[in-house]
Amino acid sequence: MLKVARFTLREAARKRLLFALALLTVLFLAFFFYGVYLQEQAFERRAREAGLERFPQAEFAWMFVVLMGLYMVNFLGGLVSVFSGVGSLSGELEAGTLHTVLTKPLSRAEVVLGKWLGMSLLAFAYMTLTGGGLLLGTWLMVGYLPPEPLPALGLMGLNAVLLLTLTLLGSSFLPTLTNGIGQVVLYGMGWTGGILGFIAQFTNTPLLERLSKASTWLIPTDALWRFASYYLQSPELLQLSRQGPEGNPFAGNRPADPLFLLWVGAYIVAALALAVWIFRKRDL
Amino acid sequence: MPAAIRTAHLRKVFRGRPAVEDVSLEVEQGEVFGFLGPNGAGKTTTVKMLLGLTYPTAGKLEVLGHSPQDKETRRFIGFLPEMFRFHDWLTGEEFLRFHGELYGMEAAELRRRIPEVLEQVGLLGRERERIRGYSKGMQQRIGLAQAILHRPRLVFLDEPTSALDPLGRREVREIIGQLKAQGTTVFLNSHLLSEVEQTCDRIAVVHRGRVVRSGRMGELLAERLEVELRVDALSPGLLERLKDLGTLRSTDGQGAVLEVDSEAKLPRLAEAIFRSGAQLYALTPRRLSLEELFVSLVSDKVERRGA
Ligand SMILES: Nc1ncnc2c1ncn2[C@@H]1O[C@H](COP(=O)(O)OP(=O)(O)OP(=O)(O)O)[C@@H](O)[C@H]1O
Ligand SMILES: [Mg+2]
Repeated sequence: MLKVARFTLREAARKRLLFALALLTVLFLAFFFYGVYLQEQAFERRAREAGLERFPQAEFAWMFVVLMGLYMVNFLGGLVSVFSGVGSLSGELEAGTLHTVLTKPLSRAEVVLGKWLGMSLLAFAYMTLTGGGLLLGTWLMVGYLPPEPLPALGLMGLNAVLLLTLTLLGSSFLPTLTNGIGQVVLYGMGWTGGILGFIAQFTNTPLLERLSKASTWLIPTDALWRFASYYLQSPELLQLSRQGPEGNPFAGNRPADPLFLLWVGAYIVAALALAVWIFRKRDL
Repeated sequence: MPAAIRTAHLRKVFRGRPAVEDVSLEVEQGEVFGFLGPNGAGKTTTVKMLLGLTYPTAGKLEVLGHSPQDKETRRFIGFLPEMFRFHDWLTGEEFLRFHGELYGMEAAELRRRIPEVLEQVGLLGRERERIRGYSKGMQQRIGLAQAILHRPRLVFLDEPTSALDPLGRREVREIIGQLKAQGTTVFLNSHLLSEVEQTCDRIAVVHRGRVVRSGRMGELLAERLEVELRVDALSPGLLERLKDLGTLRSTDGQGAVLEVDSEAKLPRLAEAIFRSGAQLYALTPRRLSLEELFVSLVSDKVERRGA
């Protein structure tokens, strides 16, 4: 199993895909930091005009900037998970590269788990390193750091692993293209579920609210982000958002619910077990 | 010593369509076994079942005395697929090292063994290039190297020479000879019958998912004879009698080409001609080549089905 995991990592390192990805990420971060830089200059100018040492709402503004930045990172990391996992089993079967591997003294379960391990590490690392890079850069430039960056990054990393596991599950029985479309639809559904919840509370529609709750448990990706975002907001902002309707689509106002985290853990294990089961049954 | 391969009434149905109807085989260890049949006969499907890649719908199978799912058994099996495609971002050497590791080979053993197999398949000197840059034939060669790297006891080669030049084909024949000399069992799928004729000890011919004939190469080839007859005049009565004794391939007014299933039919042919009152000028028996045997086996079947 570890041989397969190591091979998966090596494959990612060798293929140009990862290179392109790193380049895109650097581009994204550069763009983000340039925005931060412009914003910082605007704040300084306004502070000077008002004859102040510092722009008074700067802290508050940086909080939003970082929140939006990490939202984007979370989205990008999700895409990376889906892209890297989408053809992992089906694609290799279609190409025929897996047949000589599967006839080695190695169970099919080991192949699936090894691939999962390698790609999970990658997806987790991508999410947390890009998110961490964004936080670090902002901190170095303007001295802002959100209240609890580590749990937020951890939850985002968990989200990456969750999406990857779902994609691997899809890849165990769907052709690559179908799987890719399916994963994007699922991801979109989770996201819509979050928005629906927001609308439901806004308009006070219990049915819609129940629907949104169900989607949160069924596709926990969006909820994970909302938990992550809690750790990025100051107590004042959280206080403020608690007065309005709950469940803003872009940020949550409650800390991670241990029961929910347990659910996500069980969800990942179950999806992985199902992937192994399906893949073992298949004719290849 | 268990048989290298033993199957009983192996059957595989894909979504209602049988790919393999009924295949019972026994391959002894150390044999070179040719598995022949027209396109779509079910050869690759049978190999995939023997390797545990595909699950049989019904029937029993054993490789080296165990289930093909048995991990320990797989250590002794090698496989070159028909649709060979490998991780082409690896160099040839890295590819072999990875597969060797999967077989559970030690690093020291691999260092010794990799140049050996590269030499055998004629790729020595090219091992540091990426497989992506290999020609199709070179890819098939590296795949063959992968299949024999760990000195397996049983090797499945599914059309191993489909992409090879004539020289490469001869090299593969030599490799199969070397494997046999080492006591390795070789299960060979091939359409190149002259090649099979030269390398295989025993063969089985499958047609529409069934084994239509199997046996030692020499015996099978001795079984069928083609006889060319020349007489002064071929009467309708004699023609009927000849048709009873064998399969008529062609005829004209003074002769016929007939296929018979044993040498014992030769005197009976002469007798029939004599009885009919015709004058016999020539009766020339000729052994069929494997190709002719193959054609007669798989086309007979078609005729019988049509009838
Ligand atoms: N995965 C599959 N799904 C559905 N049908 C299949 C599958 N694999 C093979 N078949 C069918 O099974 C039959 C036998 O195919 P197989 O590949 O075993 O033939 P073959 O004897 O190897 O032929 P060839 O000489 O062309 O390689 C064919 O009719 C094929 O269409
Ligand atoms: Mg085939």
